[in-house]
Amino acid sequence: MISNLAGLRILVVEDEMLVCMDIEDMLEGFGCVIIGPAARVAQALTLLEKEDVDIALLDVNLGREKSYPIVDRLMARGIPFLLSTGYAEIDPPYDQCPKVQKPYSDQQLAKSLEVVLRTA
Amino acid sequence: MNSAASDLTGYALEELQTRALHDAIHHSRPDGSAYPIKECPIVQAFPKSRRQQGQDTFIHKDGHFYEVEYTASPVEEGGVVVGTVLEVRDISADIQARRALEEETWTLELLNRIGTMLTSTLDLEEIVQTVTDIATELSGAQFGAFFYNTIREGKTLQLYALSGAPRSAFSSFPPPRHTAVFGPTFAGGSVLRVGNIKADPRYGNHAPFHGMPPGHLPVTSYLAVPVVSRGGEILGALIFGHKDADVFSARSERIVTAIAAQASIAIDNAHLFEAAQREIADRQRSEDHQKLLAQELNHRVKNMLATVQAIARQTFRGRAEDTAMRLFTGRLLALSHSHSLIMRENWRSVDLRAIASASLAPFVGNVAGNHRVLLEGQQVSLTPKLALALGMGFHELATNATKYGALTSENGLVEIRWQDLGKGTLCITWIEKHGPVVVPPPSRGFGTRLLEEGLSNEIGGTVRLLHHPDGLICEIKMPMPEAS
Repeated sequence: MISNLAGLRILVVEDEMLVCMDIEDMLEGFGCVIIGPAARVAQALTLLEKEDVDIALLDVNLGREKSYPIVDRLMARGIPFLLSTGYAEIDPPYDQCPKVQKPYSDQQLAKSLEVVLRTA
Repeated sequence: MNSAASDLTGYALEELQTRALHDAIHHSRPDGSAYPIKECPIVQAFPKSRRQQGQDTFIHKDGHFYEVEYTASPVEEGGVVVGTVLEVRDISADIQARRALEEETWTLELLNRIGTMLTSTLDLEEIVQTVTDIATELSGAQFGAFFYNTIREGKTLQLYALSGAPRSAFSSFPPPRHTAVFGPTFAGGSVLRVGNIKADPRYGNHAPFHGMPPGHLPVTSYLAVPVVSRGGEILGALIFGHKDADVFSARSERIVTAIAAQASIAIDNAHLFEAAQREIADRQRSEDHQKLLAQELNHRVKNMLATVQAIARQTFRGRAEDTAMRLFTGRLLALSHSHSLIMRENWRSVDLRAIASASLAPFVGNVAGNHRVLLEGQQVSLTPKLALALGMGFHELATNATKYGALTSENGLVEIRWQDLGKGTLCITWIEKHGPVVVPPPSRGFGTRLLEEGLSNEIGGTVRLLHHPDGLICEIKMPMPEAS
């Protein structure tokens, strides 16, 4: 797939094994470099400390955790991100963040990531 | 001195002729202190030679005081004052009537205050406290209390409100029980008014205290009035006490009984209100719980669909079934979008227009104001099941239109119209216009099967596909969903 996402270092946070594999495939298809994936908040925060990250794709619900602390860190560091969620209920103020509804097609994901990059 | 004067003073003329009038009828004040003659304005009328008028209190021969209105007029003879004419009128009855009137006014004011308060509040504590305060004041009691009748729950009487004494005056005692004194009120629902409770045969029969516990507020006069609900249940009682005997009159009893009747209505109302509030809170809790469950369900449904999609993509990865995969993904996403709408409405109902719009959006973009799509019809609410089925149907039609029909060209138009045909039938038509000439497909594909068999079954109606050369027409007839 032709993509202007090629070469982007993208942090992936997703705790569903199969969905995660699928996302990795899609992102690799766009030519992205995947950082992670992380399935837990702590894991993601460690990756953020160690790695250079251009953009992040975060599942909101990580089992018992929510990915909000990661969002806070990303915002503090000015790194653009996209939330992915199965349902519309995201707690405020995070409900104002850019998001994409699961399940999504590869076109939808690419489009959403491009919008985030453009407006970042 | 006329005979009326004799009646008034209790003295005969001859009894007074030998002594100063002041010493006989005016020697003391009502408080018992001496009334010196020098201060007497009536006597002063003589030396001052001036008419004196006023009100005062005289003493009857038998010792009782009575209120009078007097006029003392000096009598002159040849410029010399020779005596005083004293006119006296007994105004005791007037004064008593005025005092009674004042008292009645005050009583009415308090009763009015109670009435206003009782109709303006549903706060049980406030009701009971105000009732106790005012009833204590009106009955002339030193202290009054409201006890809840909790005996019926196998417990004792529970002190609820207290007036005229601090709560600590009772807090050290065990709660009172159905003794011979309390029984008639709390079990029998009758008023008990006793001039001296300690002398009453019902008093002091029960261990351990045989009467009031040591340190109890001194009660001699006793008045207990039950508060009975509309349903005849004895809610509790107002109990009043005074250290002196015979304080409570029939009038106090009547007033307190009237207050108790008002209080019972207010307490009933407050109980009803509390019950209603509890019910509302319960319902709210259960609704919150339901919402939580629905959210969890939404989350799982969406995750499940995402997982199914991931499995399919992983399974078909790198194979030649790219087109099949796209079709599959499209159908899965259509299902997912329909679910999103249902979730937004909390699994209750979904608007037909919303389902149609969501199904078309992946093909034409935003439906509102879109020149390629026309949606027209009244508001129809669909159950989640119907919404999912119609959503899938619209998706198949839109897929077909994008591949072969009106949505292959920029000029093509899809019209979805629906109307109530009456007799409980809803008719939805999908009409394609300005597309390429329609050629009937050589074989029945998944879409056709889903529409003509699956959908018609699921909606309990009929679905007809017409491959008209000008454009495909799909006619869906189904029972009109009942408004929810």
